Amino acid sequence: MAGKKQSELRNGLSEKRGNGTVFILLLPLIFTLMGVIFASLILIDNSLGKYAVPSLITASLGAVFLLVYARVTSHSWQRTLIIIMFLGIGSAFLINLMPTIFFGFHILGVFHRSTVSAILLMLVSLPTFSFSIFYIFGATPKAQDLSRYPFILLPIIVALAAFGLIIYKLLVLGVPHFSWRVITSNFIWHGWSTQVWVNGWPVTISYNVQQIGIGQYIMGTFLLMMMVSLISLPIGVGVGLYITEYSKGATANIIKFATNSLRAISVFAIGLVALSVVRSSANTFLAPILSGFYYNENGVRNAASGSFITASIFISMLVIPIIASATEEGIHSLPHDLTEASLGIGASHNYTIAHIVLPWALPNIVTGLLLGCAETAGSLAAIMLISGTSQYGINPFTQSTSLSVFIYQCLVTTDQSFKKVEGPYVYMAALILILITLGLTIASLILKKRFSRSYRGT
Amino acid sequence: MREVIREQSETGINISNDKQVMPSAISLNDLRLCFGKAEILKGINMTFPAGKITSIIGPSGCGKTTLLRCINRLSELATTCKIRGDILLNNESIYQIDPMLLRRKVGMVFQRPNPFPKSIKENILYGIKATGLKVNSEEVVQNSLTQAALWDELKSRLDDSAMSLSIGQQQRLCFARSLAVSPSVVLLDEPASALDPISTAKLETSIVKMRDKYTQIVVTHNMQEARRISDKVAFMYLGELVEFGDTDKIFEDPDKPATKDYIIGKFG
Amino acid sequence: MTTKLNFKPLKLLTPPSPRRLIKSWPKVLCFILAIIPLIMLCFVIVNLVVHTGPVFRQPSYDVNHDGIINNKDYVGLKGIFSTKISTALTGNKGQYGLIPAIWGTILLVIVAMGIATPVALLMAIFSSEFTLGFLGRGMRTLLGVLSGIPPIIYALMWIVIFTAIIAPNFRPDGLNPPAGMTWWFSPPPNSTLIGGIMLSLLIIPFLAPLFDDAIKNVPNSFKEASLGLGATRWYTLINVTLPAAFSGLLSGLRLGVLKAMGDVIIVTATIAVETNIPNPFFDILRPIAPLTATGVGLAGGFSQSMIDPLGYAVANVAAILLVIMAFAIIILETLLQRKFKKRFSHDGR
Repeated sequence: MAGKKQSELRNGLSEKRGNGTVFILLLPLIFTLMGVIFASLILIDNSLGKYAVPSLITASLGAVFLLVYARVTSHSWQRTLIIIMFLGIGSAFLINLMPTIFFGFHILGVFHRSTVSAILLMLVSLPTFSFSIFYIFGATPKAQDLSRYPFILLPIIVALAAFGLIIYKLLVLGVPHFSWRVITSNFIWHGWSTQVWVNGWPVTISYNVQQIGIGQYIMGTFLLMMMVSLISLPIGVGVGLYITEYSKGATANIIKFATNSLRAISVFAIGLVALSVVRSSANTFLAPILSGFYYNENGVRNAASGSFITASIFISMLVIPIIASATEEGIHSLPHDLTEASLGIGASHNYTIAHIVLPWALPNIVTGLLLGCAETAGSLAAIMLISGTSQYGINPFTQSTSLSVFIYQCLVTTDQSFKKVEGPYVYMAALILILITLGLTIASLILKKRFSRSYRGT
Repeated sequence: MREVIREQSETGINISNDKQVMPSAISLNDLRLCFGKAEILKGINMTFPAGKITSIIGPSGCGKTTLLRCINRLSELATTCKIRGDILLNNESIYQIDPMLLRRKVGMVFQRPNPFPKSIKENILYGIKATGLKVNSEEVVQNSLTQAALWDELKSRLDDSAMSLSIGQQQRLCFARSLAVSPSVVLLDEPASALDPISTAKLETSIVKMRDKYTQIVVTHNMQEARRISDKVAFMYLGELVEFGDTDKIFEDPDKPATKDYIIGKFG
Repeated sequence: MTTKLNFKPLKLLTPPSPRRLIKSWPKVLCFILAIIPLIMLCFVIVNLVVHTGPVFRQPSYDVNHDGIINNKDYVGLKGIFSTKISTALTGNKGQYGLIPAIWGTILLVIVAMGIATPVALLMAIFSSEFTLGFLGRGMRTLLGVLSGIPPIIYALMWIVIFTAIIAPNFRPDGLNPPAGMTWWFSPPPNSTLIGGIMLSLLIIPFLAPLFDDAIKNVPNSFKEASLGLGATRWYTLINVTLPAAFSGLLSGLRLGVLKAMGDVIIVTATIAVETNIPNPFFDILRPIAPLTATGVGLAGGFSQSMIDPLGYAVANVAAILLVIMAFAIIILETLLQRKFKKRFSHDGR
């Protein structure tokens, strides 16, 4: 469609078509729109594959129609439409000849016939759909822009449908099991467990599960968010301030690079280092702080596998760059004349920073902080090797845990009774987690607007 | 108060803390300035008399604004700036003082109005709070706004945000803000270039009214404005001071032919 | 009284005093705070390197396919860059080759970015150029909301997407062979394709706002000049706006690739720790575990009781490989930015 002939592109100043001709063009529009929709649905449901061939025929008919229309009105042949017409008729034949399932294309997979028919149907209908939009709106350059919309919108709709499907399934699986009792009570397990080998796979069987709940996971998530904010807020703001205000040159570049690299290297590296820190401090005096401790039901003190303090230190490695770059962005957006006005009056550099620069950057800092909290709640890789169920209480020295850890445990545990007992609640926990992160994200957007008004006067 | 006296004894400079400060004279002694390799000011020698309004006129790019920003040492914020020569404030070199202290005595109004995103009252009191002086805030606010001819318009809205004022009011607010710290010299960098004629007239009236209280140095592009408000005029061209004298003499019978050509409008 | 005419540097003569130093405490405080991330980064890297020690020192053994045990001195680099690997959960022990893992990472990133980049670009175009009124702005908020979904959710719900999209197309109807066929084989559910799809679902809401900002930063004067000459909006977009936004798009792409490479949860849950290179090596319908999932398997999988010290050391090697690959991507992007700067830049610099 890029190579249009001059004679076909009219500007809107020339004569408009009568309404009658435009209505006829609705026919190919509808045929091809149905073709597009069918193509998408066939990918999901194989049984609709039998409608592929009729849709191909009608789409090709639409292409023929448009071809004739173009010839009649502007005396030119549209090469693309000709190709599409032949492609449509040819593939209708081809599909009728294909077996239901075939092996092909050197990838040892099994392709269903409906997949191929869906792809061919889409290849035929989508361009024809664009062409029909183009001709309906009068073959002007503006119509050409409008005819690009199907290409833009289709992948977006497919992606949004995927997200919608996930959320829908979460709601369907999670809401029926919703119960306040489970949310507010803790999961407690006393008893013993053994590991047996069944069919070559290790299976853990345990006894005496006593209480169902996900309360401690929720409390753990909040404790983690609080501790990570406490650590990363001063450091992030300090980094941002130092880079932009107090030093320009090699030191600033090094610090900026180091801070951004903390996020660039895989979270897995951070998780491994967390594990090594906990393990290597096992017998030293740092053990109670770093690996946590708890008193089990007999009053015996045991070492846990990683405390909240360690977890929050390592998660803040991920959150500090967020806050630092938010601060930096906020300070960069400060207009230069405000600093000059403040210095011109005789205020010192530090006073200017405290009273002009920081209040101006405050909306950005708050946004960064809330986004960092959302990241903490969802963060799993950094702490998955050092966290557990933490059934003996939630304070900075107990075993670290959070809602993400709970979902992870439900996914991968080999402990059958755990799965049986807590399994149904994993979708509810996922919904709660989404609600927390969603709430934080939305709050950051709202607060940013409100702070902008009061601190920047805009 | 105590802080100022301690600074004073450290530097040996007599900085009066009296609110009724006397205006000061500024002398430039062979001032040269380079930005990187480009020489912007090529040896300026002049004295701005105390208590008078002096204009600096000249075509674009001749270094007027740079000269002004040297006087309160704002030009040194750029990293490639090198300065030679000396500037004296009442016979004391400004390079011997802490720049912060200097800027309390030499105030500046910028080309584009830049009030802080705070309330009107907080804008006026900003300089005072920043320098730690203890004053009667109501009195200071009223004095400053009266001097800038804003008191009648704004006395009922002192707590409104400064960004809600019109551009002309904002520029006069910046003027009042710089007067609130009681400087002895006020530098104005093309103060009316962003304003409409009515606001310009109001601002010029305020400047003229402050004639004997402060030494004012106005950089302007607009020759008519220079003629209206100033006592003395300096004409600069390409980084050099071409002529310096009384307003009437410069505009009616200048000595140098370059001045005459500029006044007539042969180049600009 | 004139002073000597000497050359005055920038920060001029203010007498130093203890009072001055005390007054500069904010700067010192900020410096201390700013050094901390640098210390953290060095600590992480040093820790990783130190713990790879056993790879080069610990005696190991080697099992070839006849089941005969060879004693080796240590695994070493040759062992790492071989192609066989075993974890605590699979049969023969002693193989620690990471080539399958490296290739798995590359393949996975290609699949995920191949899906995510066009979709994110189209979303950015939709919300900045081809908006439909409030829908364009709503797209931005919707993306912000979707970006808040933590990756564990995608790991939890991958079966949903699998049964909806992949299963109908690559498996026969139902799990039984179709009538009349006595043999068939179909892709297992944990193929690279499904891992790539879930990963791209994670990346799209992250990438689209970055692309959107890059496109919006192109100065209006370019677009106006092009439209003023009579070009259509689509033509302007392709030939003027997107090239001008190139550097912003490239940096967004870099962030996306780094995120795809580094993600652990989604790939561990979907592809698990399957570790052999599939037969045509680009077969995305078979699983091949990337570095992150392999590392999790080596570091003991899901319980600390199964940690094998040599495997743990190899997991550290995997993490270091990831760090090296991440820096390689950053350097590549910087080089590309420099190369295309003159061609596409709209700052005139």
